[in-house]
Amino acid sequence: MTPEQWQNVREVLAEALELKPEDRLKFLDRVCSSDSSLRREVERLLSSSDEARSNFLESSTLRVTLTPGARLGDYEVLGLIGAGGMGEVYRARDTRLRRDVAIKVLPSLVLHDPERLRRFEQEARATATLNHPNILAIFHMGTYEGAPYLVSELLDGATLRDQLLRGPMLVRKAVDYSVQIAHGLAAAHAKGVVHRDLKPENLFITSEGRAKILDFGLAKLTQAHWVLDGSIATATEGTEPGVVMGTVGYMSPEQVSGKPADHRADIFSLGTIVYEAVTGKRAFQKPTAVETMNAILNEDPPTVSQCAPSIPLALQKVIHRCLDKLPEQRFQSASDLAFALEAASDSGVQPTAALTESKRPLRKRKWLYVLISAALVVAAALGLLEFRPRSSLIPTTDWVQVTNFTDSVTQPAFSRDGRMLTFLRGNNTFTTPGQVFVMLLPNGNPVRLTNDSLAKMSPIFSPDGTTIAYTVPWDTWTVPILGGEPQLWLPNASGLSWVDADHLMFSEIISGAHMQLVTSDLGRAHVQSIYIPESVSGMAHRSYLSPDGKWVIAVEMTRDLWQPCRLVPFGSSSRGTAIGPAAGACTAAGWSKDGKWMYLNSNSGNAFHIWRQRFPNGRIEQITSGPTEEEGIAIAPDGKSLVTSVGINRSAVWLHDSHGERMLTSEATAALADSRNGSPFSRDGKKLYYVVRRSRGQEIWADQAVGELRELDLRSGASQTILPGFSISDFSLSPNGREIAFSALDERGTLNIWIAALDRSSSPRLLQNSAQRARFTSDFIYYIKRGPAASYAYRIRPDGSGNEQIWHEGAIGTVGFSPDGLYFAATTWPPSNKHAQWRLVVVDWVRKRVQPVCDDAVAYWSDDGKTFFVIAGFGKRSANPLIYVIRLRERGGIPELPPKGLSDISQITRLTNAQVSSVGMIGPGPSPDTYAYVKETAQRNLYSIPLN
Amino acid sequence: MFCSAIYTGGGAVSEPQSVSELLVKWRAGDEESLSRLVPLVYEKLRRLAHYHLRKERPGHTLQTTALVHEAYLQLARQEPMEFANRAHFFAVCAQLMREILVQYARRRNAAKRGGGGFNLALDHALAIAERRSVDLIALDDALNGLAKLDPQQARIVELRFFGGLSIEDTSDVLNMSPATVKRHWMTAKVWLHNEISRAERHDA
Repeated sequence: MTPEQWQNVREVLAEALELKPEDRLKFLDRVCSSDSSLRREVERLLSSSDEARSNFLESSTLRVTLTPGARLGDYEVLGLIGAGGMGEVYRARDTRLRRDVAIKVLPSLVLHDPERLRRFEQEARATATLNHPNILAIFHMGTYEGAPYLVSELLDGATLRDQLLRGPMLVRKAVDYSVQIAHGLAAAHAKGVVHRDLKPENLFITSEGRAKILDFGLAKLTQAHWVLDGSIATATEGTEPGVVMGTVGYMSPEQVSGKPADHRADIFSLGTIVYEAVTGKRAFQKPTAVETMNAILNEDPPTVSQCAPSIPLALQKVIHRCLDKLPEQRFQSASDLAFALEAASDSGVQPTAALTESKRPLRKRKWLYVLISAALVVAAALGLLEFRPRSSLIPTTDWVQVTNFTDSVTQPAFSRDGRMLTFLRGNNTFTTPGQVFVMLLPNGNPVRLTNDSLAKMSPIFSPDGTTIAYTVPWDTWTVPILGGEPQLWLPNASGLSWVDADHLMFSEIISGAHMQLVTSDLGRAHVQSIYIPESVSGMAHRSYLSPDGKWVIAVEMTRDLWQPCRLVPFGSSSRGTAIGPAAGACTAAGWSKDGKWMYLNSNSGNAFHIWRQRFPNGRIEQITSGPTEEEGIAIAPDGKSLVTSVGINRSAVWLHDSHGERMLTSEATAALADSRNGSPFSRDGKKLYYVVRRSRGQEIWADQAVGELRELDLRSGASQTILPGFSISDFSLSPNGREIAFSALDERGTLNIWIAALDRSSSPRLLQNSAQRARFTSDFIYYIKRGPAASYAYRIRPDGSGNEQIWHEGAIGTVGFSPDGLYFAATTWPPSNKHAQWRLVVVDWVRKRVQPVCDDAVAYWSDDGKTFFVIAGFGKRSANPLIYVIRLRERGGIPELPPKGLSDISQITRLTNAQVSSVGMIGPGPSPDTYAYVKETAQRNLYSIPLN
Repeated sequence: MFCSAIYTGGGAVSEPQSVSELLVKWRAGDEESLSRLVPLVYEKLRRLAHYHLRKERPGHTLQTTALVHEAYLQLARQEPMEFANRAHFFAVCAQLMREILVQYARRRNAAKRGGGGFNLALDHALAIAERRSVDLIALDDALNGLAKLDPQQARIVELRFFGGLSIEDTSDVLNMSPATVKRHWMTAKVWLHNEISRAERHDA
C-alpha cells in the first residue's frame, strides 16, 4: 500500500467504523462501487470483530465512567457520590432487592494485571463472606466493560477522620468504637484477611454509632513499591513482602521496612488510631513522610499521659502495647485487644475525661460511604517524592538495586574499567566476618572468592583487574578473581589501594594503636608518610586519592570512635583539615571524576548517609536521606553514579537463662552499655539495665553503645528511662544496689563520671571530669583516665574525697576492675616479636604484680567476683572469638595462669570447660548461666545512585 | 541540577537550558531544542523505567503512563514548568518511552534465545506487560510500518499509547482538531491490529 492508497482506505474506514457492523457492507457497496481494491482492503481491515479490537492499545488510557441510568446487571446507577484515586463511587439501586447500594468502579490503573486483579477478587470474596456488623458488607462484584466493580451496603454517617477533625473524642466513645473495630478485625483475621491499611479514613461511624471497617483487600491492590521494597524485602524472598502504601502515619514498622505484615500490623495501626482518638494527636507525625516512617521505626510516640493525662492508666497501657515495634510484643490477636480494651474501660473512665470532649455538637452531615482513600500506585510513590526535604537529595526512585542478598553486603569497590564490582558479604561496615565477592555489572551473578572465618575490610581491585586485595586486620591479603587461594601479601598494611601501576597507598601501625597513612612502591620500599593521626591512638584506616593524585581523604578512628574525614595533601606529611559535616563520624569517601566534589559517608546525627563537599572546603550537601542508612562509597569510573550499601540495622538485647534465649527489647537500637565493670543486672537479678543508642553513631561495636539508660523489669517486660538526658557509655551499680556510678558523654564528646541514686531521690552528681569505666565497690569508685597515649587507674570515694592514682604505668586501655577493686585487667603493648595487637594482663596493684593472660583478648569479672570471663580467639584470627568462663577459687582474684600467660587454646581449656558461644560481649547475670547479650541484624544491599 | 549533569560533560554544547525553556522553544518551532530536550528526558525516563522494572515482582505491571507522570513531577520539582507545557512534555516522553520499552523487550528476547544473562524480574515484568496489552516488539514493527503510510498517525498512537495522552492533549500537541485525532486514532488502531495479528499468524 502507498501513502496515497492508505489515505483513501482510511477515509472509508473511518466512516465505516462510525456505523453499526451490520450497516457497513451496504455502506461499502455504495462508496466503493468503482474501486474493488479499495473495498477489499477496507473489508480486510474490518474482518476482525469490534470486540477483538475494543481493548487494543486502550489499556494506558482506559477509564470507565458511568452515567445515571446506566445498568450493571441488577443495579441501576443513580448518581456519582465521589471520586478519588481508587476510582469512582456511585449510588445505585438494586432493582431486584429494592434497596440502595454503593457501587465502586476501580480505575484503569489496576486493570492491567490479571494476577493482581485475581488477588483482589479473592480478598473481596473473602471479605464478602465475613458478614460481620463491623465490616462493610460487600454484596457483589463484577466487571463492567472490563473494569471491576464492587457493590456494597450504603452507609449513612461520617468517617472517623471527620470526627477526629473536631479534636479528641470522649474516652468512652473512643473505646466503644475501638472495641467494635477490634471485633471486626478479629472476624476478618480469623478468615485470613488482613486489612493492612487501617486509618481513620477507612473507619466509618454510622449515624447509629456503629463502627464499620472499609476497604478490606484494597490495600493490597494499591500497594506501591518504592526503594525500601528492594532493599529490605530481599530478606524475605518469595513471601510477597515489600509493600509500602500511601498513608504512612498509621503503618506498622514491619510495613515501613517492607517486611511481610500479618494481622499484627492491623493491631499496630488500630493502636495509632486509638492513640489519636483519645489524645487528639497523631502518634507518628513528622513534617515529611520519610521522617514519619523513620519515627515509626525508631521512636516511641509521646506517652498518652503526656498528651492526655486524664486517660485511665489501663487504657494507656493497652495503647502502648499495640504500638510496640515488634509484632510479637503486641497483642497477638484482635480479640485479645478487644478484651483488653473492654477491661480497660471497665477499670474506670475518669469523669474529667469528659472535658476533652468537644463542646461543639457533631455537625450532622449526610455521608455516603466512599470506598476510596488509599492512594494510587503512582500517587504513593509521588507522595514520597513530594515530601523530599532538600533539592540536593537524589530521589530514591533513581536508585537502582545492584545486589539482591538476603543478609548484608558492604564496602563496594569498582574495577578500573567499571565493569566489575567487588564487595564483602558480612554484617559490619568496618572489619567484618564474611567473604569477598565479585560480580560483573550490571546483572551478573555474584561470585564468592573466599571461604574462611577471617575478619575482612575494604576489598579493592588491582589495577589490572585480576586480583582483589583486602584487609585482614591489619594485613593485606589477595585473592585472584578467577578463583584460587587467598594469600597474605603485606603484613601490617591495611586499607590498601594503588596510586598507580607502581605505587601503593596503605595504613601501617607505627606502634600500639597508632596507625599512619603511607605510600610506597610495590616492593614496599621508599615508604613515605602521608598522614599521621595526632592522637597516638588514632588509626587512619582508609584513604582515597583524588583524581589528580594530589590529595587524599583519610578516614580516621580515634579511641574506637570514627572522626570526621580529613583532607590531606599527598606526598607531604601534613595534618590537613577536617571535611564534611561537623563532628560527623566519617567511614568512607570518594571523589567525583573531575575532582570537584568529595563524597563522604558520614553520620552527623542519627544515621549514616552520603554527603558531598565542594573541594577543598566549599559547601556541604547531603545527597541521601531516609529511613535507610547508606554505607560505603564506590564512585563509578565514568563518574556518573556511585554504588553504596543501603540498609537498615537493628540491635536488640537478648537474655540467656535456664529457660533458653529470648529477646528483651523492642527499640531498634537497644544495646548493652560496657559491662566490663559490672553486671547490667540489678543486684536482685530482677532488672536489667540497657541503653538505647540515640544515634547509631560514632561507636563501632554494639557492645560499646552510648545512649540513654533504660531499666527493664524482667518479669513484666516494662521499661523506663532512668537518667534522662544522659548519654551513658558505662556504669556500675553500688554493692547495696541503691546507687549507680556512670560515665556520660558531654557536649564536647568527653566522658565524665557521675553518681546518682537509682530511686531518683536525689539528682545526679558529677564525680570526676574526663574519666570513665567506673567500678563501684563498697568503699571506692575505681575508674580510669585516658591520657593521649595511655590510660591510668584511679580511685575516689563516692563523696568525692580521697582521689588517687593507684597504678602509675600506663596501659593502652584498662579493661575493667575486679568487684573489690583490688585487681584490674588491662591491655598493654605486646612484645615486639609477637604478631599481636595487644596483650591482656591482670594487675594486682596492691602487691604490684602483673600477670599476663593472653594476647588479643578481653577479660572481666562477674559481680560476685567468682567468675572470670576471657574473650579470646587465640591467634587464630578468628572472626568470632569465644568467651571462656573461668571459675575462680578466691573471690575477685585471678585464675592461676602460667607465668607467661596462655599461649594456646589447650591451656585455657584446661582451666575451664565452660564456653559461651560466640555472641560477642556478654553482660553477666546473677547466676553463671544467666547473661544478656546484644544481637545485631543488618539487611543491606548495594544500590547504584546516579550523580548529578 | 539534572540539566547541569547532562551538559557539564558536553563541552561543545552551549549554555545549559532548562526543560521548561526547551519545551517553549520547541513548541515555537525550534527543532533544535527537541534534540537537546530528548537526552534530558530520556535519562530520567530510562532511570525510572529501569528502577521500576528492577522492582517489578510477580503481580506488578509497568505503567508507562505512571512513569511519564513521575518523570514529569520529578523534573517539575527541579524547575518550575508551565502547566501548558505538560502535554508537550508528555509528547517527548511518549517517543522515549517507546524506545526504552521496546529496547527492553528486544533485549529480553535476545537473552531468551542466547540463554540467560537477563534479569529475571525484568523478564517477568515484561511478560506481564505484554500479556495485558500487546507484544511491544510487534507493535513497534507495525508502528514503523504505519509511519511509512502516515507518520502523523503513528505519532498519534505513540502519544496515546506510550505517553498516555488524552485525545485533547494529543490534539493540542499536534495542533489538530480533536475530531481528526480521534478518527486517525481509530483507523490507526484497526490497521495496527490487523498488521499485528497477521504477523502473529505468520509466525505461527
